[in-house]
Amino acid sequence: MRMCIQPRRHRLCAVALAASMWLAPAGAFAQSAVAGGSPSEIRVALPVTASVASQCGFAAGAAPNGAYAAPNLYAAFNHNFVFRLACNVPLRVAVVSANGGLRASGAPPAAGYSNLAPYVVELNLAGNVGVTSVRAACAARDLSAAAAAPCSFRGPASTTRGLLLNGPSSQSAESYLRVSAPAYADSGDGILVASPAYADTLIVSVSASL
Amino acid sequence: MNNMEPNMKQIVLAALAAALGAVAAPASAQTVAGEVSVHGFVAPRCGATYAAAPSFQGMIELGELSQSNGTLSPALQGSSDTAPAGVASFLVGCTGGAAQITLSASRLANPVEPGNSNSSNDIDYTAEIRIALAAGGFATVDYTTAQPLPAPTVESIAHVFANVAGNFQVRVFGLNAENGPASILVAGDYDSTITITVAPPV
Repeated sequence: MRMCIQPRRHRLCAVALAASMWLAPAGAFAQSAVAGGSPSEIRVALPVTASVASQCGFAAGAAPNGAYAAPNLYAAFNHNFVFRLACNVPLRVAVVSANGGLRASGAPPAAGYSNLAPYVVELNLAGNVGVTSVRAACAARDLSAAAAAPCSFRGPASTTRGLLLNGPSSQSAESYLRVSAPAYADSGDGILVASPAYADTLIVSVSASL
Repeated sequence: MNNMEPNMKQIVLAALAAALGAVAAPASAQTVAGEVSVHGFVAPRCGATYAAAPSFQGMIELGELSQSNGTLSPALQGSSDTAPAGVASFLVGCTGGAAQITLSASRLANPVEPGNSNSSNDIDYTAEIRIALAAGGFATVDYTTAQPLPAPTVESIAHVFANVAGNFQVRVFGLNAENGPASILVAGDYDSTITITVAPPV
């Protein structure tokens, strides 16, 4: 870009000088133009910059939603909730478990019995080509808001909390959340009380990461 | 130039603002969320041991049954639920209350026939299951052998079992020789089988 500053245009000259104070090295500041003199013009470089705001969320219609009905909890189960991210920046995904496991409502069970079945939540995040996929797994109990030893990706997601995918993920990359458990063994937390309604809700959130 | 100074300040501020605006906008802390739910169930069931084995077994060894004169030992005859002749313990668990217990037993029998009414090769007795309950206390289920064998005892236990080792204690007591306490026991091995079925409520 080239700008000629005429003496009668004092105001424009001042603009150019002021801009040079911020946009050019300090040494260039001493120059001034004189009509018919030398130099008769000042060259001012005006950088042109722009930005694109970060966008981060789930792809339209591809958020992690849905329900899975596990079999009898004394048998193993495994299910994937597929979702797609739409982030043009590095991002974090986090999960919160409402119950910290599959919980059956009702009165607290007797000693030696349990109404909370453990299971594992695994996050698998896929990014654009060149972005390394990431994976992490935690027990659902460590994803509850009251967890004594919270999982590294317990939510809600923020710029610093959640599993980090260190690059953008377009709408075509398929990520998933897996819930699974081996066949329940009574030796750990007691005998699971009979109930038709063990349940948990997982809130999955995504945030841009800085 | 002096009359320009106020304008210069304004322009410098404007340039500063423009310079700040030229820096890439930071990633906003926008957060969006999805929700998934997971459901499951636990069917009523019963099992033995923590591994929920479908069966359990053990042995009650009563030892020598006769006293020196060949008749049934008075200690065995006089045994009771509080002082049983033999005991075996198991861990049995159910996922809920109202489990149904079915108990039966065969007579303690020697396959060698006595040959006369003054001898006995069959001994009747009472088998009892003493069940520790999670709420405290015990429930008992009894079955006494006879000729012919009575129908199995079937009882529903309303409360859940205590989930502790040995919550099922099988006791044997009150032995009686078939032909009376004065009958001579036929020499040989005596065997009996106690059969226990624990089932969740239908």
